[in-house]
Amino acid sequence: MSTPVLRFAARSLAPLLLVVSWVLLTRGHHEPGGGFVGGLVAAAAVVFFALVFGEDEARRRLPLEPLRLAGVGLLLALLSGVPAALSGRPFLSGLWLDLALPAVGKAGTPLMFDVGVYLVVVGIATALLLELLRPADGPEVD
Amino acid sequence: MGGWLGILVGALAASGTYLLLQRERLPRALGLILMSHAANLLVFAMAGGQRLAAPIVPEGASAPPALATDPLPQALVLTAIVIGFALQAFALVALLVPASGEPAQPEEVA
Amino acid sequence: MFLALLLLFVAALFAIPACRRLGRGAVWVLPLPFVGVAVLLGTRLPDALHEEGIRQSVPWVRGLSLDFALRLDGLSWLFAMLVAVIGALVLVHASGYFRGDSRLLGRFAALTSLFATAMLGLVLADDLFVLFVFWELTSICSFLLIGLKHEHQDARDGALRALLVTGGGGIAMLIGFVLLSQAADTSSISVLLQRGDLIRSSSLYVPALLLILAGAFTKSAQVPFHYWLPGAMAAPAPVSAYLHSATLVNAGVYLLARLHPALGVRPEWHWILGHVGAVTMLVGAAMAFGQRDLKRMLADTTIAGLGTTVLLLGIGTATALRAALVFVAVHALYKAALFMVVGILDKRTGLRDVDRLRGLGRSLPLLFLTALVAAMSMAGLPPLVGAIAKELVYEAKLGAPEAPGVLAAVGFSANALMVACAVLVGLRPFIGRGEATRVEPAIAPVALLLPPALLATTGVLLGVVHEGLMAPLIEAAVRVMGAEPATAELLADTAPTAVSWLAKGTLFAGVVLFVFRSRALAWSGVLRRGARRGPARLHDGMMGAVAAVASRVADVSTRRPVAASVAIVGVAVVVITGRALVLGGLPPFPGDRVPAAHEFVLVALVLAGAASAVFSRTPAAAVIALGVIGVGTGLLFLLLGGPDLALTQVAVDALAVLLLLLVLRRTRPVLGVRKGWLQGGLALAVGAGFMLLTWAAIPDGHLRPVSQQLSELSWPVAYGRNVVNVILVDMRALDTLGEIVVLTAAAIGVVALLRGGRQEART
Repeated sequence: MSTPVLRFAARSLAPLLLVVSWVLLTRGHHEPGGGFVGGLVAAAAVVFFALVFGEDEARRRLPLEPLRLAGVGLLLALLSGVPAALSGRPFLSGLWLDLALPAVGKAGTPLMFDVGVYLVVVGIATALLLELLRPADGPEVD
Repeated sequence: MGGWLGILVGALAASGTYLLLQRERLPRALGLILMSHAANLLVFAMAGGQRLAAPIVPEGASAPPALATDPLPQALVLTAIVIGFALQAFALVALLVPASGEPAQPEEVA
Repeated sequence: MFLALLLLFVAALFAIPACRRLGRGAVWVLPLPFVGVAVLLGTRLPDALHEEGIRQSVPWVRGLSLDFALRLDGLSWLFAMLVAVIGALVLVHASGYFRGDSRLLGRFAALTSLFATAMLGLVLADDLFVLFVFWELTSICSFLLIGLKHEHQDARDGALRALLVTGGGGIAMLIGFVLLSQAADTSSISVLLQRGDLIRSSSLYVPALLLILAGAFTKSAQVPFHYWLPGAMAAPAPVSAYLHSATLVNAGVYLLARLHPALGVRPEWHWILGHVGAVTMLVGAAMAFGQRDLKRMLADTTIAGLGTTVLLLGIGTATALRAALVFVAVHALYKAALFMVVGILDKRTGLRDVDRLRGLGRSLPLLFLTALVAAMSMAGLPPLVGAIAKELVYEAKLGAPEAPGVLAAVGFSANALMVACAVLVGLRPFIGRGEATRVEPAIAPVALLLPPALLATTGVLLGVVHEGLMAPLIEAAVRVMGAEPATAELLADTAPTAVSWLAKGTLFAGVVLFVFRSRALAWSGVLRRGARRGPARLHDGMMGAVAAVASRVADVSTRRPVAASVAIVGVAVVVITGRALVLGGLPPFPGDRVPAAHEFVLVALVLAGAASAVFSRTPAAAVIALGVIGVGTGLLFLLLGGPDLALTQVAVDALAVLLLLLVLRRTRPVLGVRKGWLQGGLALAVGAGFMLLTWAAIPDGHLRPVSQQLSELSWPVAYGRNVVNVILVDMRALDTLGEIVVLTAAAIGVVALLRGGRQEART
């Protein structure tokens, strides 16, 4: 399903949507947003790209296979609780650093957790939808 | 406004139940989705059900405005929406994609 | 010690990518964490040998005063070193064994490292429940390792059986631990070891003992729970070399040794362990002797070895305890080596049948030498350390307070059989005139052969130099176990004549058995078959019965049209809400009766969507209807003060519409006409119930106390303005963690369903 217009749109919009998803993620702590929405928008970006350029091409552009991405997210979320446990507090207590990272804001374990959530949501949504985009039998139908 | 929200929840639940009681598979899948919407709205109703402010701490203040919606049910519904999506996918695929026997070559799911 | 655990855990994480990148070079990298742990342990040895050893602990569950406590003393040091050293050697061996299949090697290395973490945690644990967690982890890892080649049915069967048996035992053990911690008023092992008298005089002693023994006996393959171990031989040889000789199966024995000060010295302890151990020893040895498959033979001799250890722990004298520990260490050394040898034989000849392997000494001289040395240790031939172990064991049996004669006789028979097996494994495949079995060319000779050779050599070295090296360690371990170390020497030099006669006699009898093997086998056929098949058949029978009952229950509860199940739920909803209404009165219509214009538009929109979804004629129309509902709901969220929800709902809605379209494209279902007046009536009743429920649920203006508290803490304490997000990722992050696990599981399920279907479509 690719016409020149759609191809152009996908090429420009997909990265833009990814940026938006990142913004949603990082602003989530203070304004509406967060890991869940961010992940969904990022997944939408990937899937939009896949609709136009094909599921294969989209997969190739991902740094990891979608379910592995989700796995990394889970790991990140889990690990974000460890610093608290190591310093005597209950697991997953929020610990914050005093510095502000560029493009991210104040850094702390809840942010790490949110990034983990982000990755999980991107991973699962992309996994589902990309798998469905695969042709069921024979060459691409549509 | 709360009352109308209740009517909405009731309508969605009724539609969902009706569809779930059908014989064909696609209506049942749709019914699940509608019930999911109904449940989300029901829990959300517990957050206030009226036009109140969002539970966000404004600049300079240290707590959200007094007349703000309840953040706790909202947190519950937020994850419910996303999990609902994943379960929708599962239900749809389970109901509609043709059942297969033992696969010839089990593939690693990664 | 925490560092050691962390090291192995990290190794597990990086094993797979490491193997993929490094290929052949992995053999240098994979064992490093294990070597590191061994070094760490080595540096702490002097401290560990002191009275109570070293303790490290971190508070874990304050509510239950449960600490994550670790303890390194003589006993745990011994077992920990086995985990580390043999683990390193197994990894070297495995990189040769799995050469050419770096994917399999990666999985093996990752799982083995994970298992080693769990096993290390088990032996270092200083709290009953910490130990339990690691215990179960080892069961899970063992399941995954036995089923490493999961494409094979027998691997899956063996893994499942092992998991069921050891898992069941684990649950029993947990209950036993709870009882024990009640009796001792603590779950910390260090503390409860000092309250032995209190425990032994408690009324909870017997049930706790029985349950804990269930756990130990299942893990260490005692009769009648022994049948999972031969089935576990479906695992690749390196797995067996690690798990089924040196580590996993020793977990039960370790538990018994560790809890000896608390649970021992009561007649029940002595009686049960003595009998179970002796029976297991005999049964294992008998099964082994009749085996043709070398790997299964080694498994059966391991069962016998574990029985011996349990028996010794049951005897309980200082000599017996010493013998038990020495035996555990020695057994690990030679058994791991022999498993690796059999693995190499299997790789090079494709055979494991002892009657068909012949004359390989000429083509595989180094392997022959290794096998021979290891087998000599197993047979108890001086100067190998196995001989020392054997003499210690006899000395312990003769020194037993009850029935030393019987024990010695039983031990003699079992050991004779084991000697015969040792000859069968270490000698027979390599000698013999006539045509030698064909040998495939070697692929990774050094990696494959070096570890077992090292183990065998250690057997020789220790046999010669045992005093200085082993004695202090064993004494410290024995002291921890509550016995008074008798003499400073490992073995009284003036060994009683009886012991040395027994030892020599065993060798002689073993050789005789070997020579007259075929005749001996013919006589004992029936007995052996019973021992082997009996419990296994019982297990299969039980599993079959459970499955039958389950499917009967499932039929009753689900074999009806889906509509009927839904109807039942629907009626239940109506009845429950109806009753609440009758009792509490109708809730009033909350809020204004007349909505504002935009509110009304949104509500009407969603209502229209719902109606359209119900009555649509084509799938596409239904999808559009759902999309409209989603958008409408999202806007409602926005209107009513839930901006995060609005964003999420709209995003999900977009993806959900796409999802529906893709699924429909793939399956193209038919959408008939909706019908049913009865269904409609029930649906309306359910809808009314939900409506009234919602009316009752809408709050009357004030926030609940917990929500109030969370809102007030959000900025000052959690540095976040968006309270909803703060709740999700900070205050209730643990719940969210569970939720994202659910997400992942659902996605895995969907992908698996889709890929399975695709396979079907292709064929």
